[in-house]
Amino acid sequence: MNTLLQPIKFGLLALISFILLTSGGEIPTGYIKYKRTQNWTKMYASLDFVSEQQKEKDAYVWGKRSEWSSYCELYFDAKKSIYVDSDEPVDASQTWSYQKPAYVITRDFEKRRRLDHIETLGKTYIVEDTLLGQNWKILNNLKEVAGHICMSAVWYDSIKYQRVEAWFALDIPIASGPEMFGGLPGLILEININNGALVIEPVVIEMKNVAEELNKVRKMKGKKINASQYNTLMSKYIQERKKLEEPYFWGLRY
Amino acid sequence: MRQIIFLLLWLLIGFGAWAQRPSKISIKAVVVDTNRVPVAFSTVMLLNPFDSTLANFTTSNMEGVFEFSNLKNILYLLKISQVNSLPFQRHLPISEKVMVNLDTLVLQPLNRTLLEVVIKAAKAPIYIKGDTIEYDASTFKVPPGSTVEDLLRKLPGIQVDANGNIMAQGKSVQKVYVDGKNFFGDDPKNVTKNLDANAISKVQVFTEKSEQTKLTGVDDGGDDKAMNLELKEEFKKGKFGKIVVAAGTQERWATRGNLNLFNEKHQLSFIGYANNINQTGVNWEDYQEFKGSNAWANSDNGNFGFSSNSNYYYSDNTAYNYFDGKGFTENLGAGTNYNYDSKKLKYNFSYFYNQSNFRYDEYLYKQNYFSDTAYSNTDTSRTHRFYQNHSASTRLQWDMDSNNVLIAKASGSFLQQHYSQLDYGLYSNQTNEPINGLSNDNQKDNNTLNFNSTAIFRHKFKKQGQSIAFSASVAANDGKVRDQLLTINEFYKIATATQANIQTDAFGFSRKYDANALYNHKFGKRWFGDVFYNFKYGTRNADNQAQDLYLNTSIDSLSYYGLKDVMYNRLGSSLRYSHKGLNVSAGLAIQQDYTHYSFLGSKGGTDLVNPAGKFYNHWTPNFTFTYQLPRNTHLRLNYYYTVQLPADNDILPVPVVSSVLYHKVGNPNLEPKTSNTVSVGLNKWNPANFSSIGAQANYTQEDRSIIYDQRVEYKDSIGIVTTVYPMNYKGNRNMNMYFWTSFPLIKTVLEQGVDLSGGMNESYAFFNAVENKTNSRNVGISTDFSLTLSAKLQLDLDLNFGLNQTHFSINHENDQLNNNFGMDFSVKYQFLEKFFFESNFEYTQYRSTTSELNETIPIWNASIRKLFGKQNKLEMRLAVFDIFNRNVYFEQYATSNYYQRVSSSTLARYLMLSVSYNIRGFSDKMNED
Repeated sequence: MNTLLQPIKFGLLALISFILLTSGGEIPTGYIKYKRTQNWTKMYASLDFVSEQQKEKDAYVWGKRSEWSSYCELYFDAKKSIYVDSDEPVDASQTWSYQKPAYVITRDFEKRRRLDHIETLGKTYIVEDTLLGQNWKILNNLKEVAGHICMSAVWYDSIKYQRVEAWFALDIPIASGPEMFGGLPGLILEININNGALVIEPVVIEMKNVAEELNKVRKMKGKKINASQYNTLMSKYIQERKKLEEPYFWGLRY
Repeated sequence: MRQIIFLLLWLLIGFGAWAQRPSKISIKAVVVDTNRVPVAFSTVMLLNPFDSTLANFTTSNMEGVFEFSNLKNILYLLKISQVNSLPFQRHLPISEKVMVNLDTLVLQPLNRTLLEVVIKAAKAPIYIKGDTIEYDASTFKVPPGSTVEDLLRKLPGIQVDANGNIMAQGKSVQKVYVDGKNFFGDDPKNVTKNLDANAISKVQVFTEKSEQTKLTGVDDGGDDKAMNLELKEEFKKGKFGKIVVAAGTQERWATRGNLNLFNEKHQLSFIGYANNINQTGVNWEDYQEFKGSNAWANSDNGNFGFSSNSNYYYSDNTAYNYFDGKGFTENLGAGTNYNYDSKKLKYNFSYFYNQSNFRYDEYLYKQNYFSDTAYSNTDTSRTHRFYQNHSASTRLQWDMDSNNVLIAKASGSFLQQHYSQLDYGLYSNQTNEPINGLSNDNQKDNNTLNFNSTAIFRHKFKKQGQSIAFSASVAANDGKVRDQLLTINEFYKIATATQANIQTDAFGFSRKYDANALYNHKFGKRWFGDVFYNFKYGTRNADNQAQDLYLNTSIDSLSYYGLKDVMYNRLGSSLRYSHKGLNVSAGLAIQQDYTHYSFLGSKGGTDLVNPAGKFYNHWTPNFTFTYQLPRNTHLRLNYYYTVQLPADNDILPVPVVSSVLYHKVGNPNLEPKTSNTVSVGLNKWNPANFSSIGAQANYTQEDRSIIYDQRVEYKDSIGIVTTVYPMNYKGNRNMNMYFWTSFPLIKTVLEQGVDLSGGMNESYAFFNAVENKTNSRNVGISTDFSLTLSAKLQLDLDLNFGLNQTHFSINHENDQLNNNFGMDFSVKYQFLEKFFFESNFEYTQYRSTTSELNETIPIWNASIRKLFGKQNKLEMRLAVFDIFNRNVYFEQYATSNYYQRVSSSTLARYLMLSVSYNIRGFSDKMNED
């Protein structure tokens, strides 16, 4: 699977921040609250073993009523970023509390390391490895996301069968983003997977010092594995589900 | 094409220069704008020119300078992007030098209107494809009824002159396509002046090669601007539907069809069926498709506050198939459904008509036990029932803004029913000696009109977590029943008979009004509280007039006028703590029920019950605890208190017309039934192998039960006469437990499920003034195996066994022990081209050790079908139902002081050939049929 992922020169970012620092530019550091919306109908529609008839029927019956949103938070500076699930409900009238499985994604640009604390498939893992970005294709599309002009990049995830469209900010040179996405010349502000099956968009972008959040000591317990072991784990599970013509996303984060 | 030729050229040059080529290079340049001012902080990317994948990136410094070093010497596509500029692109060939100095690169400014108007003001993404710039036109607002021309006038970079001629980027637009197709001939004005602007989602402007260029491939420079208008999804219409026609042996036939028409906002559907194969309605899948986006919208009810019966939910089920297994039916139904679905407004209207004709013969055997005696009766009956029902419902949801929602709904139905039954019941004593025989010829006609409407309003306050809701509803029910009963009771011991021919006309109407309010409050981050109030008021009138059809006189003893008023007030509050998967809630409500009855034996007669109303006050606590532990483990505990008012005919001395052998005496002093229920549950799911395990236990203890004192008398010249007295008594109790698990035996191939259940029920009754405690216990075990040999072959086996034990404290000799065993084996196989074979064999065995019963019912069904056509639009199916010709309806159970079994003949073996046509084609998946 590693051949899919090309190493991106994350060290360059240190250079960029050096340039910004010496040239009087501000060091980009801040916080983004993302709204993560899953559309179950579109998630089902992206499964290749579901017939066209079933997809059309799901869209007809469920089309507009199958969305579920939650908040996620990204803290970043030139050296590091941390992405976590937020406990705050999107709908304030939703007062029921759910236990969210561990999902803490840490990116260390200086040391070029990833450190992910993930509860998945009934176990908790600590995934530690060299930081690799996705093998993005850069397209010439521009749009504004929350006041930032963004360019689009596309990557096909052949493990999860997902077409990922990312919109990265041309004015925030941080190679990070929501979930495990990153490695682009700018911070990813918006993600759209499989034509709206999963949409992650920013609700709040605040440029401020977030050193406290970035340096907070988080308890991490779990089995230590590397990136390729983690990919094998997912891939094996997705293939098993596929064989039974069952969706994988009841057990795995989409 | 041009790019590919370029790349090939570069490759050739590259190969030629192979020998001198350095392996690592550096690239350097200065980025400037059109005024030669250096551009700082532009994003500089090196892409793979073949697939645009990102290979490396950097940023230009304050002087506009960027540099890449230590790069592989391969082909690159250099891309520079900056907030105010159009993306810059240049192909870089394989270098012959170590340092590649690109000198000065000039960024073209992003058209101000595109940046300010399209991207920033209209928030539309722009898509730059070669020389085409495309953006989402739907973000430019034009008044309703505007034409495309009006829209184009608003778009940056496009001018429309007084005559309607279009200019884009300074050139005239010669052609306008709609969804890429040539519409309305060659004059673009035909489109722009006629098409509704609101139908357009995207406007694309591009340079179209002239016919000459297309033909020769040589660019003659005479390019025209062309425009493509993409239609919004909602203006793209869709439809689907299918029709099935089937005919079989035994004069069996069936037909079924549906048609759905839709676009983004509207859904219109029709459904219909007719058959004589015991399908009294449509299945859930078809019904869901019929209701469309409204299929799940009907669950909102305005009963706020914790509910004592937590399983209460509303569903309109008039259209479902609910055949109970007895006899033969002819069925017909049709309906239409309309949904309007926009962000602010959701509207539904639905109408359904259905009728069914039931005919069945039934045989019933019942043994009744008393402390000193027992008797049995057998009933043989022939029933014919016909009903027709019209039902309509409508629902409106108006999301006024993010803080206010209004829901209004109404439904109504009109049911007409005719029922006739011929029945002969033979009553025998312990030694099987016949005592009396009761023959009934019963004809019943009823009309019922039902209406229900509810309005719910919800408001969220600005302060997060605070909200208020109100609801109100009105319900009305009017009914008219004419019941004619010709009854003959033959007393065999001394050969006498009594005969009666009674007609009862019953008119009843009821009205119900209720109003509810709920306030929610959030305290800090983890505490939530609510206060609710429920009010209900209802009134019911009944007028039952009986007359003797032989004498043509009214029968006062069987006639009555009744009036009932009920009122319900409940005020309650609950407090909840919610954090990290722990939700604990405790609540308390004070509930007041008021009932007032008037019951007159005849018009103008005296009130037979106490005319003063009665109040019942109860505190009703409620507690729920749920805890979501890590790794998909859920734990829950519930406690609630229920108050249930006595049934009207337990309170009132309502005469029983249907049988001379049965009387019920009302008890006006009866108090409501109250009970405490506790339930606990645990379940765990392991997504890694899809195994799950769960357990649940429920226990209900009644503080105060409503039980019956049955007095059986042997009356000369009549036979065995039962009189029933309702009374309050000490607690009945009930407990049941379930355990289930499923796990793979061979991952993705063989899966097993195991279910265990156990239950215990203790209930009290009096028989001839002797207290009886009926103690029932049941255990059940079932297991199923699912074997998926391939995507085209699947086998399923299900085995189950149930044991039921019933003890009667007054008569141990007749304690019952029944068991049943069931097996179901099914095969699904897809073979050759689009052939499917499906078969299942179901075997059921009922046994009663006490009455030496051993009833076995084997049912075997098989079918073969094939899909035809490229899109599988046609399907033919040949099916045989009940190959052994053994299908019957059977049930047995023991409760209270009796054991009973019922059997009825029903549709058995028949062969059926069906042809189906599906507009969108049938799925060729085995499991989706």
